[in-house]
Amino acid sequence: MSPERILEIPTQHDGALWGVLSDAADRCADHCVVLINAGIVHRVGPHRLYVSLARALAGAGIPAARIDLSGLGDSPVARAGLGHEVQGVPDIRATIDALQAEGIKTVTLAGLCSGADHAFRAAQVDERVTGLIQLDPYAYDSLRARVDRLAAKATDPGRWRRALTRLTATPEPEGGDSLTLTDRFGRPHPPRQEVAAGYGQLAYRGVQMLALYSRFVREVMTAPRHFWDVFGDVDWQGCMMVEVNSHADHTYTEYQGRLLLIQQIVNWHADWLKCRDAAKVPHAVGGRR
Amino acid sequence: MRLFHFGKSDAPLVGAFHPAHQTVRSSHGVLLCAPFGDEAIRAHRPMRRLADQLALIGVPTLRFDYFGTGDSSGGCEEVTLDRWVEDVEVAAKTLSEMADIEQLVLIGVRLGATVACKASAALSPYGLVLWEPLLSGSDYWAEALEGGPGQHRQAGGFPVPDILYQEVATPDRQAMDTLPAQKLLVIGDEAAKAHYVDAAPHVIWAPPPDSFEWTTDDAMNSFRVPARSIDLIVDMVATWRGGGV
Repeated sequence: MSPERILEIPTQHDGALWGVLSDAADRCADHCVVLINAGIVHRVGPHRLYVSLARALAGAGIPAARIDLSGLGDSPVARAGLGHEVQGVPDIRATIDALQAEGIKTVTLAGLCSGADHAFRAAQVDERVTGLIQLDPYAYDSLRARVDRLAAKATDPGRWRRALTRLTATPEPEGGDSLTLTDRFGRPHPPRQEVAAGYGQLAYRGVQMLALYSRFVREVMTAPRHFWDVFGDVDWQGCMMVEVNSHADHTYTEYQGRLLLIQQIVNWHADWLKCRDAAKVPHAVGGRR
Repeated sequence: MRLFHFGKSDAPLVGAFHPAHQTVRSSHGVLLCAPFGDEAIRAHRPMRRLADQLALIGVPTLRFDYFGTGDSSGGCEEVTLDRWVEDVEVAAKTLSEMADIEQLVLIGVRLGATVACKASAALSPYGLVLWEPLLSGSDYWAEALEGGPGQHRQAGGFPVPDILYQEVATPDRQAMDTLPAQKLLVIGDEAAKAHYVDAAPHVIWAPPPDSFEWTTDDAMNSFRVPARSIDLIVDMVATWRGGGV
């Protein structure tokens, strides 16, 4: 296993942030992946995903740090009173500062759900961020996705049977089928134009980006083409890769699916950084850009 | 609180040490034994809160991740109950060295209670707290395991190796029933009361005082902690060390 070190990250408020660095025995670049809390799960990630991912990245020559933002895991609450969404940015920048002392010059920010949102915000304000990996980032509906959903419904015999059943049943109160992504976890989505502008800025800087969606967003996105439609006004400059892992739930609960995700990310990153150990990642899964 | 590595250099464990905050330091120290899998992730916040509160009343406390769990070395596929019992023994020694304690209190949560019971045989703790312990390993697996026949065993997204499955399904009854601790607190349902109090009359039993199921998915995605259970345990440890909170 790659060597690991405890990170005690100084901040501008009273307490330090805590994290763990999975260092690479032989770094392929002065670059590190920073894994940011998913929701309020501490730094190990859902089902220990971040630990496995950090170690796999380190094994491929890419150091990876998993950290607790202020008020999460073992890190104390920041007294600045900025609110968790805002506080995430200075916390992440403090982490990058600390990693510079470890010889790191650039970073990839990575996170699931709210971790993806924190990563997105911090990437826009810190030019040391040259990579972004988002698991279930913001998802917006599109005309093509609606058409695809209708087509899928039209060709599903089960749906016709259920529709017939509904026709003969007592009607449900209105609004019963209005569940949205935002409703489900209370996760606020900024206006699409704002997110598009952010992506455009990152692409202009040449930030390499990977967005991986799970079936969690199936109500609005079931294929990468839906993403490209939603953000058709962004000049991506070849910097964005999108995949939809329709087999996986939001936190990649299924163990084998989680291993595939880890390989997907390690391959993408090792390919980008041209790490010589990329081929050593077991059971490599091809990823297209 | 500080995080640190300890144990074998080729397979280090990660601990979180909460030193006693008060100038009048207790001679008691507490070692927390975490549950398994997703329950361990859900328990992280409550256990941190418990450790903070114990430190506040002068009781140094150590949380840690067993081998193959949390931040500690090892993969999820390598875990065994026997290895975790060894880890508890190493952690107890580490706590003793760090805090110069004379009396050890073990607090085990869910499957961690099973581990704490087994470790008690070697450690002879002064106090033992079993927080919602498992009464039947096979019932535990029946509830926790996912997937069908022929699939790899998995619980809450964590693989369940064959050895761990067997160890939990067929627990060491002697270790579970002969608890070599002077003070015992069991927080659990009526079945737990019947199981432990009937076997050992000096056991103090309390039903879970919190009004919500803290081991659920909903609880994992909220900031709620089982504060009443934590207060109950802190009060009990304060009593055991010979002083109020």
